[in-house]
Amino acid sequence: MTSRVPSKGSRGRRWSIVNASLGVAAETAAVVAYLLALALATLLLGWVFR
Amino acid sequence: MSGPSRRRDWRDLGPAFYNTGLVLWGFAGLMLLPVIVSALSREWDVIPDFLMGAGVSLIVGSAFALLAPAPRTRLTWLQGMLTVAVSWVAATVVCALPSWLSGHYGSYLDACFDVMSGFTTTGLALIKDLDHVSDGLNTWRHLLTFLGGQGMIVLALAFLTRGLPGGYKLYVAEGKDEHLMPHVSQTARAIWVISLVYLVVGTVVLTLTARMAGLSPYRAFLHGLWVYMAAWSTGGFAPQSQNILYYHSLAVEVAGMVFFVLGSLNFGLHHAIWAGNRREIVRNLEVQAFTVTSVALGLLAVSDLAAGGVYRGPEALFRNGIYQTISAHTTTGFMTVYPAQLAAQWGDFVLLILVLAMLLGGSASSTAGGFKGLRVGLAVKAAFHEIRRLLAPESAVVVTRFHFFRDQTLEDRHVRSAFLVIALYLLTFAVTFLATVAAGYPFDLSMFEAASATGNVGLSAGVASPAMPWWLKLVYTVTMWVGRLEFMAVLALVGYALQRRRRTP
Repeated sequence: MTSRVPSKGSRGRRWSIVNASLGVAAETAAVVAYLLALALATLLLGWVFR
Repeated sequence: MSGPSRRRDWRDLGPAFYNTGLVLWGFAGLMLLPVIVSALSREWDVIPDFLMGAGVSLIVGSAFALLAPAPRTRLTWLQGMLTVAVSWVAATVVCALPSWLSGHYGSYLDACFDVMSGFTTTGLALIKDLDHVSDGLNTWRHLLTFLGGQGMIVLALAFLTRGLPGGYKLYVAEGKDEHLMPHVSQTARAIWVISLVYLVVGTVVLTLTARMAGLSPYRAFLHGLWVYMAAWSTGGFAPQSQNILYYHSLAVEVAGMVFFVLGSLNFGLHHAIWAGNRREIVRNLEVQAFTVTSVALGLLAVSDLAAGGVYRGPEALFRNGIYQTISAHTTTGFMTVYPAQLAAQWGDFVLLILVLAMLLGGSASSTAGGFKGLRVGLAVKAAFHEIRRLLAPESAVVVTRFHFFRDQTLEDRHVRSAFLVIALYLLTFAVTFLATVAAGYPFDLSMFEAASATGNVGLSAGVASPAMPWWLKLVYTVTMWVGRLEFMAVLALVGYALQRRRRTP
C-alpha cells in the first residue's frame, strides 16, 4: 500500500553489528517502557477501584 | 476445453505448481528438525511419523515440480498470487500428515485445522491431550507457526531458487508489502536475520524464566524455544493445555509479552531501527496508532474488571486484563485465563473490548493479523482530513500528512486501499460469526471466536474444540487462511477458478 523501494541514499545505511545490537536494545527498551507505563496505569486504576 | 484455453491455464498454473513443489521439498527437509528433537528426547516411536511425512512431502513436491516446467520469465501478479494460494493449501495438507499420525487428532481435518492455525499464526487448536504431546510434535507445531509468521513461501523460494524473478508478487501475496531491500530475496533474508537474532535472544531469556518457574534445564530450553517461536510469530500455540497460565510465572508472562509486542511490529521498522534510524519508532504512524488503541482498550478492560470485582489488586489486573488485551491486540492469543473463565466471568463489555482489539491487530508487514495499525491510522487520518476539508473554505486545498518511514501526503489510493482491506476483514468476520451462531453457539462467544479466527489471534472462549461440527472447522480454516493472506491471493485463486469454469463448455 505504501511500500517503498529504498533510495540509494537510505541503502547507504547498512546494518552493522554495533547498530543492530543498539537497535535490539532500543526496541526492547521501548517495549519495556510501554509495558511499564501500562503497569503504572493499572496500578492507578487498581487504586481508584479499590 | 480448447487448446488455447488449456495453454493459458497451464501458463498461469504451471509456475504455481512448480514453486509449490519446491516449497514442499523445503518442508520435507524441515521435518527432520522434529526428528532430531525426538531423538534427543528418546521418543523413538515418534520419529517414523516425521520420516513418513518427509517422504510424502518429497514425493508430492517432486510430482508438482517435475510435472510443471520451471518458470522462465518473471512471475506475473496472477502467477504470484496463485503460487501463494496453492502452496499454502498443499503445504497445509502435507504438513498435517505427521500431526495426524501422532494420534492426537480426531480426524485429518482436525490436523489440517491445527496446521493452518499454525501457519496463519492464529493459535486456535483442535489437538487432543496436549499435555501429553511428544517433544517432536510440539517442535513441529511451533516451527510451523514460526515459519508462517515470517512468510514461508518467500523464504522457501528465496533460498531454493536463484534470483526469484518477480518474487515481490509472492511477498505481497503473503500479506507483506514493505520493501526492506531493493530485491525481494534480500528482503526475505533481512526478515530472517531479524527473526533469527531475536530467536537466540528470546530463547535464552525465556529459557531462564522457565528455569525460574521450576523446569529442568532441558525442559526449560524446549519450553523457552517453543514459547519464543509462538510469541515472536504472534502465534499463540503453547506446549501445555493451560497455555501460559501453566507456568504461574510473572517473569515468563512479561518476557513473553515483550517478544510478542516486538513480533507484532513491522519488519520495516525493525530494519530501520537496526540501520540506526531509532527515531522511527516514535514517529511511525503505525506505532502511534497501535500505542493509542492498545493503551485505551487495555485500560478500559482493566477498569471494567476492577469495577466488577473480577480481579482485586493491580498485579492480578495486569496479569489478566492487560495481558489478555495486549495478547489480543498483537493477535498473539497467549492466555493466562481458562477459556471457560473468560466466557463466564469476564462479562460482555470486556469481551467486546477484546473483539475490537483482535480485529484492529498488529502492524502491516509483521507476523501479526487483523486490520493492522497502518490502516487504522490511515482511516483516522482520512476521517480528520474530511472534517478539516468540510470546515475549510471551498477554495482551500487541504493537505494531510503522515509519517510512515518517510513523510507522505495522504492520497485517495492510501485511503481506498485501507478501507478495502478493512471492509473485507469485516465481511469475513461477519460470515464466520453467522456460521458460528448457525452452528448453535451463543451470540457473544460466537462473536469472540469469529474475531479471533479472522484476526489470526487464537484467544478462545471455548468454541474452537474437537467437538465443533466438521463444516464449521472448514469455515474457520478458510477464515484463518483468508485473514492471513489479506484476501488478495485467495480472491485471485477463486476468481481464476470461476473464470476457468466459465470458459469450460
